[in-house]
Amino acid sequence: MSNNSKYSKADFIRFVMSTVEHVSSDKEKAKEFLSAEGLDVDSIISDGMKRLKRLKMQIEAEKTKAEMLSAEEAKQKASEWVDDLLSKIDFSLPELVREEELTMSFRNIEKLSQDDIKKILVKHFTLKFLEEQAKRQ
Amino acid sequence: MTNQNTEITNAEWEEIILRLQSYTRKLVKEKGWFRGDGTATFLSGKEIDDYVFEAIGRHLKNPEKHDPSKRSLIEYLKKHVIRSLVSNDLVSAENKTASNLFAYENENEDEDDSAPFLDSILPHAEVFFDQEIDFKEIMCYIESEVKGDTIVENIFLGISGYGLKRAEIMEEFNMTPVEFDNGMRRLITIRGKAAKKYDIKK
Repeated sequence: MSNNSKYSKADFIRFVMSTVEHVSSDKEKAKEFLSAEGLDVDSIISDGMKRLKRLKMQIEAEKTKAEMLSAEEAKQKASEWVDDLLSKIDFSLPELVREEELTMSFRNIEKLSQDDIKKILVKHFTLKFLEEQAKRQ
Repeated sequence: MTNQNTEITNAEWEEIILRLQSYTRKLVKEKGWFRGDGTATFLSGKEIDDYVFEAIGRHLKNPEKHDPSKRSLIEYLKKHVIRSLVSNDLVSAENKTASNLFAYENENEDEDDSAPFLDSILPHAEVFFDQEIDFKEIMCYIESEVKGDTIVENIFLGISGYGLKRAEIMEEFNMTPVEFDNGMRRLITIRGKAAKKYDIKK
């Protein structure tokens, strides 16, 4: 090892690594470097754009699947929630409508069957849980 | 370059792809300077493309991780995602001998680390440095080779002696961008000669 050098290991590393930044500092330098490596820049671009398109579609599909799964889970949770509500002795639909600010015609409430009430409430709580989930994210 | 709130155009994607290809390819190639002989295999099974598109995919899935007010998307992908992917593979089971300066910063991937890569690796590089490489002799050789070419001499001095970056070197030594870029090309050629002379494996 030469001992009389003014350069340290850090200087050496800094020097070696400086080219990594240089060859990627802008589009033209990147093209120049890739061409010097014997690569076809046009192919890199066209293949890359195709791969990007596939990647975007794949991610979009994954997101849609995740959203559907999330909606299913929210619906299940809402259904259990409503079953629990309806089973309570002191359950009062008009009171719940006020608390939850449900848009419902009070004139029709008494005409609703138990199934109709459940459907309306499950729909309402599913949307509510999804909104809460979106806020948390 | 664009931010996460605006649609990235095809022209911008083309630039991202090209610059990430160059960065990753060069980053991977540089390992020979630090790991000496016996490093012919590298990140087996993975192509440069795989790193580039894994990085892009991570951004597309979680664009909120990139804060455009702190750094451009390309800088974020280069220094926070690709570097981390490469270092993960370097320390994986099949690359157990690869403890090196790319690897140390892994746990800080998501931190707000705006410090340049070189500045951040230097304190850690000592530990991982390949002792077989006579860096002092290599630096002396390069120093002697750049003599007589003022532009290249100044770039070499700026980078190695003072830790300056491109813009700082141009300002300090009153250099135009074209002069710097041409000088850097000549310096890279000299570096290539040094690699050959000292049998640095790529």
